[in-house]
Amino acid sequence: MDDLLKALPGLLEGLGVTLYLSIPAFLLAMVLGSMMAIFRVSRVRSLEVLGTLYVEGVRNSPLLLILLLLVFGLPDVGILLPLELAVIIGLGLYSGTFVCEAVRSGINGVDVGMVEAARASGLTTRHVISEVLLPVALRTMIPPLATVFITTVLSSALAAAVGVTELTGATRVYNLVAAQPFVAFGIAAAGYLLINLLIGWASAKSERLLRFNQ
Amino acid sequence: MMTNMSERSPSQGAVIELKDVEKSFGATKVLTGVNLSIAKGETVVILGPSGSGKSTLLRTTNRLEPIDSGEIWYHGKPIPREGRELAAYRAEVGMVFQQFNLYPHKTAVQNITLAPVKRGKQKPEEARARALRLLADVNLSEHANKRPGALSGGQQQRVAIARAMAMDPEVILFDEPTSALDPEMIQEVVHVMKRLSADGMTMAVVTHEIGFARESADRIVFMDEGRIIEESDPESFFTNPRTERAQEFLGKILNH
Amino acid sequence: MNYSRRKFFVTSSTAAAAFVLAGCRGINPERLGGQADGFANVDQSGVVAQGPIGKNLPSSPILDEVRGRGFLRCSGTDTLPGFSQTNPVTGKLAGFDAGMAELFAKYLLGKPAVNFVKSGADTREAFLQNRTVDATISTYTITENRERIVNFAGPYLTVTSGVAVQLGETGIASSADLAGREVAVQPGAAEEALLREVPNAVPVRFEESSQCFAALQQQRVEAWVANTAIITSRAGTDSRTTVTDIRFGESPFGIGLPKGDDTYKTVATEFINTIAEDGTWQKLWDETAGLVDRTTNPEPPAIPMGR
Ligand SMILES: Nc1ncnc2c1ncn2[C@@H]1O[C@H](COP(=O)(O)OP(=O)(O)OP(=O)(O)O)[C@@H](O)[C@H]1O
Ligand SMILES: [Mg+2]
Repeated sequence: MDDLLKALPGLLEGLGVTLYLSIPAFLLAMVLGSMMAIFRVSRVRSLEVLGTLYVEGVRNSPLLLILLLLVFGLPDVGILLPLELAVIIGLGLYSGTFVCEAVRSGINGVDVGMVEAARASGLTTRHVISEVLLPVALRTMIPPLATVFITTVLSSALAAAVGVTELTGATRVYNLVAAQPFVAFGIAAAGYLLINLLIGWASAKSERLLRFNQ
Repeated sequence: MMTNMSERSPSQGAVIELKDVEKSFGATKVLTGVNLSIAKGETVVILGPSGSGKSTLLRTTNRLEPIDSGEIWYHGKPIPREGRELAAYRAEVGMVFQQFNLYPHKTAVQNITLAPVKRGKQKPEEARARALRLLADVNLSEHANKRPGALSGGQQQRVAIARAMAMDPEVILFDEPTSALDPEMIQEVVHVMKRLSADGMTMAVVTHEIGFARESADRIVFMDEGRIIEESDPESFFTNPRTERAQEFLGKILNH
Repeated sequence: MNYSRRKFFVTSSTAAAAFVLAGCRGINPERLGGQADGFANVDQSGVVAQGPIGKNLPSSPILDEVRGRGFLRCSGTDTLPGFSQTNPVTGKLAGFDAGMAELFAKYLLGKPAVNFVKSGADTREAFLQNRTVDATISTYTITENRERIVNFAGPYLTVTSGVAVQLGETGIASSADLAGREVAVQPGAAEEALLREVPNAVPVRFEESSQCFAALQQQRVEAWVANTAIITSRAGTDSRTTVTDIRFGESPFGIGLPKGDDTYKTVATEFINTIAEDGTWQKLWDETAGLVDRTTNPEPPAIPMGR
């Protein structure tokens, strides 16, 4: 118990690092994934190919391998990223593929008639996308995107393998001293659960707020 | 009456003119040698059995569907094929759909103001005031801030008409605007359309509402299997259809 | 069909990514988990073949179970060169700890039948507590906290930690100089030893010793701490790093055993003393960790009975 109290600041710091990694990573994934999704439905051949290459290339590589390439591979070509940044980029690249698929199916799920109405009213393609397509698609995307966010948080545990002491890493440190695996990993699980419940709650809330028929 | 069909210059005063328009979907020929001219202030009602190509005709007119051959002219010039010019052309050609196609995330007012504001035609406050006036015109003042999900079909379609009007279009294309409505709501929409027509709006209307066609149409165009096979004033069309297909068609819809 | 296409994508895209990077300036594949240290050729099988077989071993719950099963389930890691790492040629685990496990199995069963269960530093206690394994032999430092929940036989080896730095580094002359600096370590024994010696060093943890080494070469960290055998296996073999004279800490490694079966623990202790006395222990060291680390020369243990 004493050990636990002593370890608590370290564990909380780990929780903070987990957030510090996964929130920017998810934001990066959102930007990248949405862009690639638009590429994939653009009907512009070269952009479609780019989007497909990205999704198939990154999604089919293990995340750990991506992280190792960024951490240990890039320095050999002269790029030394700070560990946290490398993890954020790797995680963002990886989650971006899932964002891309969620956004793409959201876009494909949008009623074609509505998009035609927007085009018929004289809106340019850019405005059709930003004013009609994405806002409508976004609402159907909230639950799958929340799932991607949760997966991002959980995947950030791999950062512990490349030198970043986030929640899982902090838990290991505690366990190494205290030899209390069940307590230690119980605490870590509770930490992840807490974050993910928050995400789930926010997702449900925003879904309710954005419902159409009010 | 009939202009010389071989002449390749636009008809006097025509807003929209289709010349020898052909369109296929894969192996299916949907429009064959379609010639149609719509004059300023005219209300043209397009009739025809299901699958005869009425929707496709309207959709090619604002290039929601590209055509295979022939020409479509707007005020004597070929319509643009793509890009900003196409968007600008479309801004002048309103369209009202069978399924309303309102934007579900925007209120009635926002549905109406989106295009005018985004196209830089009106400032936001200006557009809003205009939208409220248009909503008042279609009797929807108290629903201005509701989303489509909270409106009945008839109310949604009237918002859609107001939305088309907001761009001050040269012409409005209606594709079966009342077909998705419950019977008790049809009249409220037909009423609005009749008033538009009476006010001199140029309109091309695909509809099965014979009452509207009789009262408001300047001209009836009858299509069958992708061709316009009859074109006349409503009185002669309804009392004395010339083609057998039109007689059959009228027999069906008048007796149901 | 679909599956194999997917698989093709996996391999091709992964390979493509590696290729792109490699093409630029020649990436060192070992950074990604391979090995090219002095331990590449470790093979303890000769020593194990001559290892002793226990005589008149007693009966106990775990011993009976192991005999009934016919093999020993033992957890360890495969990331520690010289101690426990897969030999790329034979495909078998090689090293001092791997040899200890085989010798222990042979001592108990008459044949070196070991079922290896991979576990990181996190799961060692759990695996013993829930009896996933019969023993843990993986540079497992004996500590008071751990002795509350598992039994230890040993120590069978006590190592000291060494420090590697970048060539030309002049600011690190003693262990105290590591304070406030980022130091690469593998989670587990090395990390513990570092934090006991220099509590305010900043450990940067990597799973593999090759990665710790790479981090040092690439100047992500200012130092790398590991036991002397591991350190000398890599650092200083290149033109960018060097091993310092700094030595600190004593990490006593024990064989982790489930709590509750003290007869089993006694047999394990006798095993260690037996191989220490008959020279097997020294041969094992010479064939494994000692291949590279010629400076440590650890003494064979002599464990007082009752420990
Ligand atoms: N996008 C498309 N792809 C393939 N075929 C199509 C497409 N759109 C229409 N068609 C076909 O073209 C023909 C004409 O269709 P269109 O919708 O223009 O007829 P319509 O006269 O409007 O019929 P309705 O009264 O049922 O609305 C039909 O055979 C239809 O199946
Ligand atoms: Mg139709």
